[in-house]
Amino acid sequence: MKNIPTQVARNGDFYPRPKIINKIYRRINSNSHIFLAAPRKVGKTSIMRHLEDYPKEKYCFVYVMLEDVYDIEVFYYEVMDALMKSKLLSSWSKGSKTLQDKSKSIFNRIKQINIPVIGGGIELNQSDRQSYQKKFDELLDDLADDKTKIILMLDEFPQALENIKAKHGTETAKQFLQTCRKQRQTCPENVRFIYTGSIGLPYVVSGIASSNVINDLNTAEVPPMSPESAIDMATQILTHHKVMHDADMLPYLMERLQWLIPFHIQLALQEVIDIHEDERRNIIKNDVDEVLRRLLNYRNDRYFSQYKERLETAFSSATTFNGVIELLNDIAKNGFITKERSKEILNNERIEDDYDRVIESLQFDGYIYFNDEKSTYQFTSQLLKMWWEKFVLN
Amino acid sequence: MTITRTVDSIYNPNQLTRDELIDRFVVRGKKFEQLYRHIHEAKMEVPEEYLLIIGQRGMGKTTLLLRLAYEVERDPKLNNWLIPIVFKEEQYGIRKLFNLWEETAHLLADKDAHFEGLFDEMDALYTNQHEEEHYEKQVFNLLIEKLQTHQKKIILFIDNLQDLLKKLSKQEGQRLRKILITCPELRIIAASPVSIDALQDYKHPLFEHFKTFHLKGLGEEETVTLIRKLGESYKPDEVDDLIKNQRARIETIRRITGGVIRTNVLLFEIFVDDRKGDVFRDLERLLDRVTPLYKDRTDDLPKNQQVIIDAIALAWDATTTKEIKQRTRLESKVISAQLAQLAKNDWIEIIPTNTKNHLYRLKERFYNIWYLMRNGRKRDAQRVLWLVQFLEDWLDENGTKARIEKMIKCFQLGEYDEKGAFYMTEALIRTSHIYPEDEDELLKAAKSFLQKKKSALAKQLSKSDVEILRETFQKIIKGSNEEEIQSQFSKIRKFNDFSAIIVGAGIITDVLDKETREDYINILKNRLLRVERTVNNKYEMHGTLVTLIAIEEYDFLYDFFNSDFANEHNLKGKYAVYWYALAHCFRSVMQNEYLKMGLELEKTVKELIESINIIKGLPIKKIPHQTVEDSDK
Repeated sequence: MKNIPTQVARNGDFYPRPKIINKIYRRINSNSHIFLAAPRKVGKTSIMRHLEDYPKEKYCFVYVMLEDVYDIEVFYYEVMDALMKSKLLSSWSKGSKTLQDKSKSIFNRIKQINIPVIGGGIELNQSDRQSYQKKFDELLDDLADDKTKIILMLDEFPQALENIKAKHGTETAKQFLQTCRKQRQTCPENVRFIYTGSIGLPYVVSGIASSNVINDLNTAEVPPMSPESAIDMATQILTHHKVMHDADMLPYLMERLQWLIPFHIQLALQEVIDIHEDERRNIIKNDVDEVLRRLLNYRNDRYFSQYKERLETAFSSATTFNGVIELLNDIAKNGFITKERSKEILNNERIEDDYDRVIESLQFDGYIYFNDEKSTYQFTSQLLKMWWEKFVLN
Repeated sequence: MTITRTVDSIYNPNQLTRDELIDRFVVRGKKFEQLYRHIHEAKMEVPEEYLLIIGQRGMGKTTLLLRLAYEVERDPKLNNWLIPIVFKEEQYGIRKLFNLWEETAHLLADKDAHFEGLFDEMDALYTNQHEEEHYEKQVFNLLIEKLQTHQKKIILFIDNLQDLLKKLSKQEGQRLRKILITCPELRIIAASPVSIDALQDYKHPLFEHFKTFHLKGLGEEETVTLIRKLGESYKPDEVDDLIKNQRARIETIRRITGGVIRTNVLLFEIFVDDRKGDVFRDLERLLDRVTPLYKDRTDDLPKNQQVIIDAIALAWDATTTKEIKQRTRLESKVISAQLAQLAKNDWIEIIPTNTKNHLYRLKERFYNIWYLMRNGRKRDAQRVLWLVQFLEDWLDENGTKARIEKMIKCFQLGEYDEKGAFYMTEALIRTSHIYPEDEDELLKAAKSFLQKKKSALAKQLSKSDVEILRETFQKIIKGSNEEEIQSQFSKIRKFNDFSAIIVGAGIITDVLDKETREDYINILKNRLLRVERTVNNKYEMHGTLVTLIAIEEYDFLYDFFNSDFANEHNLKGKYAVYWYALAHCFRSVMQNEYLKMGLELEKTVKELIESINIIKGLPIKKIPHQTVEDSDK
């Protein structure tokens, strides 16, 4: 298994994450549409590509990347284009006569659709736009089948929604959200949607329409890895890169990292690999501190300062922003914060926002998590905590 | 062989043929292997990682990109399906994402006849500028279809990626991200002289999408390897002589220039053409060569940034906002905003301290030296010259050799103090410039001298490395076990640097008989004040400073360097290496001072600290510490 922190892990480079994958299957089987929630770099895309590459029998996952979509027609086009290139149609074309006919008809239908010509202020007229939507609705009907579950995975959907809102206005975005909801309700039972993205869908929707438009979505959170899995994955990676290490090195690394998302583990492993390549020696437990120090140094200010800057955008009111900084300072200083103390700091009389919204948002964006055992909030990432202590608290 | 080209052009990667470039690629071998492994192992069945090489101007990024591309071309495992596409260093014609695919089509056609006409097909699709977004998708799809038809994949080697990314709109950045994570037909391997903000910005679509490799300055050995290679096609005899006899000169300039390859190549030409020159003249000529480039870069800065750069450059060591404010008279707010901008553009680096006030330092150290020499006052330039002088002394092995010869002569004439002979010899054999045969000779002479004097110290003298090796061979011949032989090898000394330690050791032996530590230290302190006023005091001053640090007289030295006398004589500047060695040893008080140190001093200060540690290892503890009771008496 190669160490590839900056690319989507596919095939042999993907470390299985059965917990979240089984959760997704369970929700699909209960006929839910899903919102897959996790901040950037937690491994959402890798999980989706794994579902697509290695589906269980009678499931077909279609991955669509929507990050650069600014128009509703382009949204429909991208989904249909992804469907046409997916394994579904080729497998149906080898199936029963009915499936073959179906595959042919879908193929022809999509084939007639061109990339929408949009740009430089030229808007499609209403009937053009409806024609794309109509074709998409018809296509959804064509996908009805009692044997295969077809799951359309819409990556970066919230970003596309923001783009559409920025380009065409809130009203258009709102109508689009309503249409999507209607499509989810009316599409055949074997067709399910997974929405995901690195910005929170509820957060984006709150600026456009009431939360009703997405309250049919079943949220599935991507959990961090367990220490055992993290150590196993790291062992496989270090074996691939021929890095010798002491048995207690990895457990200690995971203990220090605490929030075990593949990206942070892989960044740390990159430093381990570099030390090994430079010095040609066994990596020991004592090297872990150096690894973390390098991580903080090399990716120092600009990398982690994003975490602080993002807070300024997310909490535009000065009172809330200051409250959040105070809260995180408190956690950095003590290692944790109790619910009571957090409520004291983010008291409604002191900040403009709602306590729950602020805490939820900090959790969704990967700053803090709730430790059930201790009933306290803590920094999700030990690296972030170290940075916060060094650069913000001081 | 007739030389028709300058060395600079010989080493300009863009003017070399493939074979020439491969032949001259003698440094950065490890980085090349590391990067090439990423290419060689990848089957590109799914999108692979995108790589980014970061290194300041002149560090060899362009050469490395070209070397990788050429390796792909001649790799039989890859060259039947993978085509390297190398973009020019400056891409003025690319202003939109679709231009990137158009240019790819042009370059692809040059490489493989299957792709001739591809650009014309693209061109025919263009209608008007209102439909460029649509056009981009069409031409990209066309490119990918063609690649699939001919079962080829491509790697785009893009220099100055930062410029390209700056030109892309947010939407184009998002589009590029989509391509990067979904398209296995193409891969990008890029270079940039600066860290790219976009790639570290969580909000930017390309956040963390490139695996980054940093190119550092060349080390001592690599620099010599480079010069040796250049010598193959330019005045080989002179080069050979240079490497054999003038290592200190090469190393001095390497440390000052931070091991930047392009500067080293410029320097090479100066060295070879002026073999009898000295390091000062080298520096002058090098500064002349870089002046047009550095001047342009400075002139391009907005006015306020120029003023701030002036203040930071003249400070040389890392400085605070408060000091910048004092020098520039600008408002703090303006300074903070401009500092952020300068850090963003990689002009300066920010060094966090344990207080709220960060330190700021110019990132390219040789630019700073140029600035001091060309734009500073006489006093500023003087500081550079002192450093150069210091480095040359520090690195000059001939100095050590002369000293050994002198000592042996004294031993033979019987003109030496016994303890002095013992400690001086022990100190000298631990310096790094000593050759094994000289060391052996010195030890033999010292032993014979001490034996004649019937001194017990004769038996305590160390064995020379030559002797240890000889014994080891004896053991091997006799069939000793491996462990014994290993332990024998481990006795061979790791050599360390500089005559200061010798002088330091000499001073110790000189005053060792003194009754109390106080007497001893007073002698050193007085010496410090006296020698600065006398001429030719260099070694004595260095030796005294080293000794005072070694015996941990930190408070005294700290006050001394901050005294009016020291300020008047600019001693902090003149003995910067010692000042920072003191800051390192006296971290409890001088932590933030140590952080101010310029990177060009790092290696030298470390070496000095090693020397100090050797002195600490000598039996100076014999000097009794003065206790309260003592002073009461």
